[in-house]
Amino acid sequence: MKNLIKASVIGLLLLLRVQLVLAQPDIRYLDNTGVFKMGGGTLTPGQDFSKSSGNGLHAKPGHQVNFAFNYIISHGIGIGAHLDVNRFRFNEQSFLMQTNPTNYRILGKFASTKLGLNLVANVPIVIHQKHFTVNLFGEFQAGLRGMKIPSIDLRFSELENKFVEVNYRSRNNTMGYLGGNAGIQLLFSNKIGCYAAYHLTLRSRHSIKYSVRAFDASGQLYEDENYLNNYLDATGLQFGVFFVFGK
Amino acid sequence: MSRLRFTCTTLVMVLVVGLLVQCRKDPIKGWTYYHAPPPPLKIVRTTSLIKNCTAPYPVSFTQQTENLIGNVRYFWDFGDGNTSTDRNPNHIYATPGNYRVKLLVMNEISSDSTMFSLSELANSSIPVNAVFGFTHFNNNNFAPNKVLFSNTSTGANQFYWYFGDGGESNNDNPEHVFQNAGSYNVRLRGTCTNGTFNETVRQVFVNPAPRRVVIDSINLMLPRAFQSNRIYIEMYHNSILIGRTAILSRGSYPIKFRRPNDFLGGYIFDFVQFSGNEVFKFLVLRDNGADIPPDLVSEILLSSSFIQSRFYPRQYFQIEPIPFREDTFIDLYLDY
Repeated sequence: MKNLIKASVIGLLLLLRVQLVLAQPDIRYLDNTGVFKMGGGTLTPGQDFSKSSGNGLHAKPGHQVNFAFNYIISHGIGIGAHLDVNRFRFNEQSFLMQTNPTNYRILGKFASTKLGLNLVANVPIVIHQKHFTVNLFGEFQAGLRGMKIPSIDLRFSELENKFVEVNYRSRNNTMGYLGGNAGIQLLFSNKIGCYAAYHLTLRSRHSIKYSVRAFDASGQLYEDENYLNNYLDATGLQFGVFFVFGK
Repeated sequence: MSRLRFTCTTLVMVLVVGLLVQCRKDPIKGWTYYHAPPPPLKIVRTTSLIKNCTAPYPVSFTQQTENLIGNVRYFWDFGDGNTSTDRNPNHIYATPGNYRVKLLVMNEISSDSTMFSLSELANSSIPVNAVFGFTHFNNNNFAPNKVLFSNTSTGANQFYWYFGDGGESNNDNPEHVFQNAGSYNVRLRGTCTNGTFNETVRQVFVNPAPRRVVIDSINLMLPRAFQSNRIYIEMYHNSILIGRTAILSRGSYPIKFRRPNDFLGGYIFDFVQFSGNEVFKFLVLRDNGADIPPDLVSEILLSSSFIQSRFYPRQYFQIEPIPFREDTFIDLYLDY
């Protein structure tokens, strides 16, 4: 029995080795095909986005959900579009340390939706012409993204703060961004596959507008329009599946 | 070749779009925490009304202090060896004299003090002087009109008010409702214990009930469920559609409909009969697009008798709160 298992393993390794020897990059392998991919993964805010003091925005790691469609035109290069939904958790603890309220309510997260265009480059390595292809890909992204802050209600003691109630609400914000993904795709039967990628939203400064309603102890209302402005870069890992059309 | 040209053009376009929209120049800024030290106590006014013309002299002290927060304590030193911790105390001076009164107001974070002299009490007798002021409730003088009288007479301890419409009162600081429009001579007689008296007359004007209602603005804050909706308000006068507001979204939180630009097709309810029971109806609606009927979010009813019975306040706060939902708040600002 042991010998049978050993023989099977050796056989498989030999077969794989033979396949790897036969494998060769074919840069035009995916030309004139459409690739739809969907996935999700982790998201880590950049240094300033996550900073919990001074000019920090108190963002914590969150998650992302991605949809993209690319059409490979020629020599592995293609164009497409993507829709990303990003959520960064809010570091309530550090925010409350800065504000020191007596009571609070924080609803939601930093919520961002990204819509943009892709420029994608592929290097397919065909292991088996019909059954298995490994594709190294890089995707450059540019587009628009919205960003919203959580809804924050704070209550203060009238002896500690002039404003006994402070309510933060998000305004609508749209800004541009540049980013990209790079990773590996495993394509089976030229139809379906899975992928893993590293995601990067490039470091650039943006403003997130919000409104504030504050009341003092006598009930006097103070309204303010304010904004955050800082570097909203992020990195993350993506995992998902993709479908190839036209191959 | 044409594909390559297309790819290059797309690449340039994507780069330009991405670079153009991220050219913001606002300075780096984090959260503003809205912390400010609580304001200190500040005594802005003190009054003393002597309520007799001969000894003993009852004196009513009042004070007006701003920024009343925390546990506010008052300490009055009447200058004759007596003290009080009341907010607005009354004190009787047994004999004439030149008294200096001290007031100290304290809370947990600050204190303020003031000192004033009761020089009138140095004389053996004080002249009776009837003086009063008045204010119209809600700062308007439409009938029916509630008027608040403030009595600042000195030397008297009994008061008789004749309001000129048949009404009378002997309160120190009465309120009176003038039901009809007109000009009224209000007379105050102040009398001392020795029978000395003094009279004063002032005219009070009451205007007829207004003929129209102008909606200045509507502030509307809705629950999060309506966060991404387009909201507008339809206004009805006795079930007849008068006009509607522009369609606004939660992006202008709280949603503020302001005259004139946000009110389309009419924002004035003209020829309102305030003696009747005309109804102003405001429907808060969610816009669902051109072909789909809107959803009703909230309905506000405001009758002319309701406005009249509350003496025409300019602001109706939270007229129709939606129960069991967060962040709902409607302010209606009217003018007449």
